[in-house]
Amino acid sequence: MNSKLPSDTVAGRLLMVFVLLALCYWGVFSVVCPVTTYDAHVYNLARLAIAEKAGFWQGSAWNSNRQILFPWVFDAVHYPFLKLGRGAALPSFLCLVGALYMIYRLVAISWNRDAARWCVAALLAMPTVMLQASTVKNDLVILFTLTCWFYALYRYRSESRKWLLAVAALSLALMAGSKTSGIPLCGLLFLATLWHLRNRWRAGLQFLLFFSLFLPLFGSVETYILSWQIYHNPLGSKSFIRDSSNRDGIGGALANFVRYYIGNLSLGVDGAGHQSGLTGVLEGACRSFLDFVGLKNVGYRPDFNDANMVFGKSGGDAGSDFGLVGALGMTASTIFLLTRCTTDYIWKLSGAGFLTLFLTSYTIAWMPWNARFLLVPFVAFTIALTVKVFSEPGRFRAVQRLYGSVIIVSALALPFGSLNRRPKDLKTAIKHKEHLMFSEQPQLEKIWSDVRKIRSHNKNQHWYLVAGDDSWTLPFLLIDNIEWTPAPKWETILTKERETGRIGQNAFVLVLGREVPGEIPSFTVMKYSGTTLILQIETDLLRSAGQKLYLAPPLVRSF
Amino acid sequence: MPFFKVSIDIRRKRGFKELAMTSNYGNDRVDQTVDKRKKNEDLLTCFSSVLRAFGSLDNFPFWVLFLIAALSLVSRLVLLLR
Repeated sequence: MNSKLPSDTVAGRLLMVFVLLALCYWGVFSVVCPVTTYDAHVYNLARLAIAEKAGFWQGSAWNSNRQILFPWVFDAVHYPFLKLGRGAALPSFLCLVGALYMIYRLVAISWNRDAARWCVAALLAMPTVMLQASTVKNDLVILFTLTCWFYALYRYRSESRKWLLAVAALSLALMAGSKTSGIPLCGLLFLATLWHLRNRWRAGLQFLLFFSLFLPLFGSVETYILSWQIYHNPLGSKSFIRDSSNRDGIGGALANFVRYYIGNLSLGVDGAGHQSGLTGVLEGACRSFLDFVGLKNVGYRPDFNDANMVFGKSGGDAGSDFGLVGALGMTASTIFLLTRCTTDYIWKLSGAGFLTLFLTSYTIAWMPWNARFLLVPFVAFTIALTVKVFSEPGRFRAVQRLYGSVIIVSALALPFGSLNRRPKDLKTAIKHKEHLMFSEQPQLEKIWSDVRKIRSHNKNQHWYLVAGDDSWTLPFLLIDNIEWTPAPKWETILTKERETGRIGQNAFVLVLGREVPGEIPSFTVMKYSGTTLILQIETDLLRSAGQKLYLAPPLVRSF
Repeated sequence: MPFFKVSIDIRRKRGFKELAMTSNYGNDRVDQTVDKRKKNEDLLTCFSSVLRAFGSLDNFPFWVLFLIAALSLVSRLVLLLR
């Protein structure tokens, strides 16, 4: 990239300092913050711990079907960090920094540095973007790989180097292997690449060659094989796929599109500590509109409908929106799309944003935590608006000041409105990381502490983990010096005890969200709310119980 | 100059050198000295271009991509072979 960029202004440099300071804050968080996300504790990273203890190629130790059927290429990146005990969010943060750098370069070359800096600052002001950048979920990697693909092809146009085609192919393969929702986008971009290279058949063939090499390596082939072995279907449980997909065709897609559009309107003041009441107004308006246009109760996952539809804005990883900056970007992009010329870059950005928003609406059923699926469209909307405002320094001065202030204030306020990324959480992450680890499920911290206490008094005892479909298994499996056997089926305990032949050594069982069969010869050590308890099993009696043992229904079930 | 192009160039140069050595058998000693110096220069060029490619900010996002791909591959291999 040889393009020369114009010189800096003082305001531009100050903005860059602000951006770097903000990145430092989020970077420190990504290093010290433990795993906090519900999904990671249940399946994204929990499956790494289960695969470590019970092996990958088995069907008896997984306690949730999401541990089996979702692609795991990006999840696996976190394995060394789980072993280290720190820095689990670093991969996502690096993805953010990489994406910001590419966006900066592309905007600076196509427009100017001021616009590029404001684009970067604007992304730092969007709650869902920053929360996903400081967590272990596999959503920001989709934005990153998409940006890598675009940047590689953009550079290939002027540099014509083969390895850039390899990077584009690797990006698409990683996109497909990181997340199920990345597969349709990967397919779309694969076709777009072939179209882009249509007049350079040699380059097109090279891209195909690289893609066919990288897809088996990074397309998460092993999870499809495992799903085939367990469900006789490479995509996993058919009912799970059906329920998680939009089952209502175009009608469902339009309804979801409306929900995402209205649900992401924002004043930028709602968060963990404060609710303005806007969400209630938006939910009511959305219901009325969908009813009016005849799209009532379509596009949902079966357990959601118009009556229980909620727009979160809770400040949590899964329940945030894109703030005032994202809402302004989305609204402005609608205007750009309707009023600007189709050959214009801003029109193309807006159009690409709405295309990917529609793709998500069409493929995935609506769920309250879907904002993180919308990173790509909202980043496109925000870049379109920011470029429009800041690309011509002499124009729109008042709008520049106003929009610039919104960006700065939003970026500064973002950590304070979050559920567990506030400055005081940083202190907690350093001193008592378990408090932060259980911030989404605080009741589990007591159980976790009890397990550690019992372990310290019974160092030679074996532990079984009998967990339900939505159980947080990861924090327990990561406790040092406990030899766990994940046993979602009770029979596994019997089989294991027969195999090991331990005599006179009672084993402990941590039961998370599972009914205990009456035939199990055990006594309760600790009892918690619901079906969560710690048992001590009398293994000698268990062996003699033999085949009378109650056979629990298979844990890996569809829902 | 990117790393890949440099390595291809070195291979090409090596090819020419081998050709030169076989055709100029009588000047073997001179050629070997020149070859040695050139080899060192090539290695330096290669090393500096690797550093340049690695250090170049333009390629930084790609190194993140390669790092993620490598970490994923190694971790999955470790877990799959357990």
